Amino acid sequence: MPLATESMVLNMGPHHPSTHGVLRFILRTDGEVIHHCRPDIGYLHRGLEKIAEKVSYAHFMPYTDRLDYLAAMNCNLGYAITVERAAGIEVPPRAEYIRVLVAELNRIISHLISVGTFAMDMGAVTPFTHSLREREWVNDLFEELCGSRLTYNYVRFGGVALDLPDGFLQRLSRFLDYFEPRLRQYNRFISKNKIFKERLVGVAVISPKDALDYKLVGPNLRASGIDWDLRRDEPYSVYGELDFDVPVGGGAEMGELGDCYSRYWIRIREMEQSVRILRQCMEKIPDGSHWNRSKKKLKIEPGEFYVRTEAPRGELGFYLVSKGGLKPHRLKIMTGSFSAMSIVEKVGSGLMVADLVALIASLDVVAPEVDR
Amino acid sequence: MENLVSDLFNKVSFFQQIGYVPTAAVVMLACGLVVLNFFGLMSGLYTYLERKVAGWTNSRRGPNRVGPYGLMQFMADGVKLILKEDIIPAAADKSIFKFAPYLLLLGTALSFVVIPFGPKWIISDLNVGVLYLLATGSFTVIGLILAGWASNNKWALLGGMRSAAQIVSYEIPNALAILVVVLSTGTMSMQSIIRAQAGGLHHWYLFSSPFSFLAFFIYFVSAIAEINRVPFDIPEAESELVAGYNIEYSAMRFGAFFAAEFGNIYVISAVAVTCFLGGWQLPLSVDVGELGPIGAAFGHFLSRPDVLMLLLLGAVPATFFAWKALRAFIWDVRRKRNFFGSRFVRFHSELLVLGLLFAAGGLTLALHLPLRAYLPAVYRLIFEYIVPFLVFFTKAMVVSFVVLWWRWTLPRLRVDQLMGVCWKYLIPLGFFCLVGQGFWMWLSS
Repeated sequence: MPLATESMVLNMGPHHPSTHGVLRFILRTDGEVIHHCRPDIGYLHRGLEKIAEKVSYAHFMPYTDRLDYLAAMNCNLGYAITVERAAGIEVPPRAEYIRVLVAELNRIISHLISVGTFAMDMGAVTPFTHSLREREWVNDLFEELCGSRLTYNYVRFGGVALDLPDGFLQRLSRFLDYFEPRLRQYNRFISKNKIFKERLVGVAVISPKDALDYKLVGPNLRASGIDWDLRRDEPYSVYGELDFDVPVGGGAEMGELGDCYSRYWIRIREMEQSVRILRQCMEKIPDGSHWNRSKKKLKIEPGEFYVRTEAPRGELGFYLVSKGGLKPHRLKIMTGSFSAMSIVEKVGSGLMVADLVALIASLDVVAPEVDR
Repeated sequence: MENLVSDLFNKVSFFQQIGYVPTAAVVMLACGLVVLNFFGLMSGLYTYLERKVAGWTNSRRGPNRVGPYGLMQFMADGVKLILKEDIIPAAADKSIFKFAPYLLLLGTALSFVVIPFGPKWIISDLNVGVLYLLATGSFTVIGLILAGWASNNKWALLGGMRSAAQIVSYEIPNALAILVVVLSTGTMSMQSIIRAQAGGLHHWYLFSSPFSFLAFFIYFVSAIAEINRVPFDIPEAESELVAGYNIEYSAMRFGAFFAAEFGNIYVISAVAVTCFLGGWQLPLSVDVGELGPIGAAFGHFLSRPDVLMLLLLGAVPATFFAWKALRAFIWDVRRKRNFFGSRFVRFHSELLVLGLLFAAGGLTLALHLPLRAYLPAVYRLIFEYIVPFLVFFTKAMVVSFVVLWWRWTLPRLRVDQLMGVCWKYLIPLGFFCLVGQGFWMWLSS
């Protein structure tokens, strides 16, 4: 006869080592097994969308840095492209290449953090410090490019704020030469680790249908086997001229389709592809102006605009409603982390506590992007 | 300790005056003090070592501010822990909450009673030494459960539950692996187990039979699980349970948990060395009295299995070091570095250390004959106390380095996988080893 037991309500977060920021999960558990898991968001809500309605278009650019602080360049870029499409601003080709360059560099360091914290959540501390060591290198590059290391505020409407400094491309190429063997080292060190795979393969599987239903985006969507990348399928900037693959889940090297391991592995593969893109950009980058600068105050004709770009955490969409004038009437931001949080309730129920940590880490949720 | 008591009682008139029982009490107190201090020092040393090893693997520096090479860091940490406020949660079960860390500490400190430091250095060579060790090891689980329960915190409770399940399960393969050794020696006394491995490397239980070889790894894995180290640190898994059973503890009570945890590393290393690695005996069965002239000794040496095994074992790291040193040397020559700026000197100071060790060993061997003839007391001090202790300590340190190294390299297992490893693999393997060792002994007798 089964013993009557009471389920325990466990409050995971807002301060918890593996929620990376202030996320909260209310778990109803029976011992180690989670019966029901409810994410509770809003601890980092700063009203970014409301702020956008109060400041001019250009003044909102620094706020996009704080949208996803691990991929500030990509957020800058998405917002800049939105305003440029709405206002009809031309971007010089050199600026386009610089933008792709910094966006891909930022994708690399964002994925590095993701992969490192993932390993740390699984109990291996060393990959995290190693990935931070590589990230420092890129942070130094960004620092000499625009003066800051985390929130760059680098992309401008019609170009980028500053041209590449002397010798930047040589130093970038040195970084890439250093980084590619490191990536293989990570694979030997952690990706192929027996315990690591044991923990992740077949855990928290998200089916392709669920991934579409819950609007997963970016690496999480591709890990579930849906071949969709905005850089290739709806090319913006100069992505159309570049040659790269889009890694998709499933296959021999992966675990089960849509499990935690494939979400991890997709990010490693994407870093390889980013290196490829960077090398092409370095070859193709033309001379010329870096900023098609306009002295006039930016006004946008009344209308509605929606632009989406591929940030490291998936589609980053800006929905801009203008009624004319210097400020947007409404700016709605669609982020990947927010939609990723919604699936935690469905997939997280029935897992063990340790697996929930793996699930959250594999979705690569960044708290400020969830709450905005 | 018993020897010491009778020696003192028989030889020193002061102790004869105060009687046998007071003498024993004084000696007990003194031994207790020495061992507790050794225990404290070891756990301090391990916190330092752990952070240093973490630095090496994480490409950081580790502690290097307090004292030379940061060696005084653990003192500073200890002082900090003592001075901090001891917070007890309002809803905690106060008496149990206060008591639990000391139970843990007690278990570890009691283990030191049967850990040998040399052929004549042991607090008490109990005839049930191994059994006693297994028993004191179980104190840990009571302490952990009490701590988890008394904290009145759900994370702590989960940690306590996990540790109960884990430690109780892993005691079985642990005991089975040690039983293999007990089966071969026919004794449970620690010193007798070590003496049974006399005669060089090939008599150590790690190498003497395939079954005890396997038993060593079973013992090592389950011992690491028993002291909650990575990859089996689920009771205090940081990313899952925040800090597990010690989440509500602060100040020196928290320090007590840590002292016990780090002291336990020495205990399991010492047991591994005792049972499988020949204890305080040198890898060569050097009878220093009969070594004779060095030339004759070499010819005699090369026909011995322990020398051959040591040569084989030494060849691997020697080749590795030589290869690295050679590459560093080529690197230096290509870049025309001067001596002190060269990679060879900067990165291969380990060669220097090895050289110094060999020189010290050679000097001791060269001096042993005149020493024995003219200064027998110094001779006995060196060869019966200092050398065995250094040998034992070095072996224990090598074993515990592996423990620390794993901590920073491996991810952690999930609870159910952890149990699976124990019940599906280690316990059947342990029984297999036990039966196999019996057959092996029957075959070789």
